[in-house]
Amino acid sequence: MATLLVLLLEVTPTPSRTVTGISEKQTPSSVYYTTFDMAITADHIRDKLIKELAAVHVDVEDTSPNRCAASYKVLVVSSQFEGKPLLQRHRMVNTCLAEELKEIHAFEQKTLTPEQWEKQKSQ
Amino acid sequence: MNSLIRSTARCLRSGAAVYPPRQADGRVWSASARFLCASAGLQKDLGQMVKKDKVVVFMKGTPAQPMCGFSNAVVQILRMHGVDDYAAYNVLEDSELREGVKTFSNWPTIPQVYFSGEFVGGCDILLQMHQNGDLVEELKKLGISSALLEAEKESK
Repeated sequence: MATLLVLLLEVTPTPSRTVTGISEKQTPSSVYYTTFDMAITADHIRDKLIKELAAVHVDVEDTSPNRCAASYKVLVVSSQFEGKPLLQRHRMVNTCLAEELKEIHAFEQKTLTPEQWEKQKSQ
Repeated sequence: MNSLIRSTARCLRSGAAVYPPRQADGRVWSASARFLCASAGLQKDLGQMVKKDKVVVFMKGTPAQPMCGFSNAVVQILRMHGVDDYAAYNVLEDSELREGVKTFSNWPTIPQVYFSGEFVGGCDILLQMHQNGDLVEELKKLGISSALLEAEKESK
């Protein structure tokens, strides 16, 4: 039991990128924008999905009431989804955005193959 | 530091409930403390919880009073299919469960739906399964005949 306590106490609250991100966000006029603040913009999400999932089309919509980057809705079109069930596709997106999702309160996603995307556009 | 000791003591006492600290810098270590003392037990419990009932939902609020639009959507979809008899766990009442189930399912958001101990997905997936007809089929595998299927038969 004593060992456990020591172990726990050793877990000191070290300042993390998260902390910096939040405090920076409270002062939007600050010029000291960290990479983390950039991390949860719609553009960042789009770029990451294009890069890591070879997405050919990505729509990112900030669905938070004040567009405060708290919730997002994304449409991802990638040929990497071909032959994969929905759950697996969503897991791919979740894995790609694992870091970002820690900061995002709500996240909706739609995952389509290029073929499904063409079909949906023509409807 | 005081709050760290307090939360450690609380954690040891209850073996469980570490409440999410309000300060931003609390997140890092409360997660670690929770991981060290309670996570193994909860993960085992979750394994049993998802198998105990055919349909299990981890949600914010209750089916009678959902506290989030996505959880509400799941409740409404199940209701449409006549699925009323399911286990619903309110993660807002248990912060440990709220985080624990995310780890268990390797899924970052709530709600989460399980059929026969198998992870189905969140709100988006259930909605798309509802729209493309897969949900009727999956319910059939559980021995549940969807109310929508019955309604369709009657109208023919």
